[in-house]
Amino acid sequence: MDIDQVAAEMLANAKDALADGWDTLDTFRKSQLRKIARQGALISQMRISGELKDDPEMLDWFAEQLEDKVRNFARAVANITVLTLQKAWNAVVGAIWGAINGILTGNGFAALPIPSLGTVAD
Amino acid sequence: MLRRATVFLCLMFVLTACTVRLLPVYDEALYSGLDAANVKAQTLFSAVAGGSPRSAFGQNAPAYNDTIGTFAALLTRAQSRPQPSIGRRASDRLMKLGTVADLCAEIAPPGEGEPDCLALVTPYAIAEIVEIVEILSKMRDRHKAAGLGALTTEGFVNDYNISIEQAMTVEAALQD
Repeated sequence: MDIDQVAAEMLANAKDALADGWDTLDTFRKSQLRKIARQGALISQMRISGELKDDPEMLDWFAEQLEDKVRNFARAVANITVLTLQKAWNAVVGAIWGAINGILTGNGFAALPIPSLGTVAD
Repeated sequence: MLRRATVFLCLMFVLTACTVRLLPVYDEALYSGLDAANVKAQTLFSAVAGGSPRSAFGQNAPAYNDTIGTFAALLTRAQSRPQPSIGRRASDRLMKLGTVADLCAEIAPPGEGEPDCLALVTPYAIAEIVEIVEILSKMRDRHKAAGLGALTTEGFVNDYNISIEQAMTVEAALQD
């Protein structure tokens, strides 16, 4: 096995998987935080302008909604992070198990099953 | 910084210790359903942009019902998606680590409605779609009862846009 070549392949695969995931995360984060900030500004304007002066419950509802949005945003970031790690794991495992199995099958041995974080059912 | 590194290492430990999926599988029909329902919602928002009087509710009522009904059907679909229980077990395992538990306690103190800050696997998309149905229903009721002011309309639309972006972004990320 060419250790340098396999290591380089694992590094390249992991970099690609991580780069895609972080790009998604960065775009999502910026877009969400802009909208969340906008919602905060709108709630303030609704109060100041008096548009909801007859309906304080509606204003409270908007405030509670904003709290839910922030909580769901944090959870979404956590989920995308876990997904990114999963993809990096799968990319690296594919390279190293591919190299091992290339040697094994080339010498008449059965291939090792590839452990996949993303495909084996619970 | 040290805590973040510890959490990351713990997470990697859990990930590499398993050969199972931590998050639900991508559902193409759910994603395309959300995309199509979003078109309906944005069309409705366009019809009431800038505000709409109570007298105009009747002409928008079918669009409200159609859009809310579509999202309610998608919610049923999301609720029926199998959720890998290993994700819950991974969260439980992480929470047994003192540093992680401390960090969670700082982020979400007990008794503040968020008992588990490491709920890695929530029934994904469900919370967001529940929010969307609630927003559209509240908007419909407000329109019917008192009409929609310009700021109130914008508040509903922006609130909706936050939730639909959350639902669609993570669903898309589930795709291998």
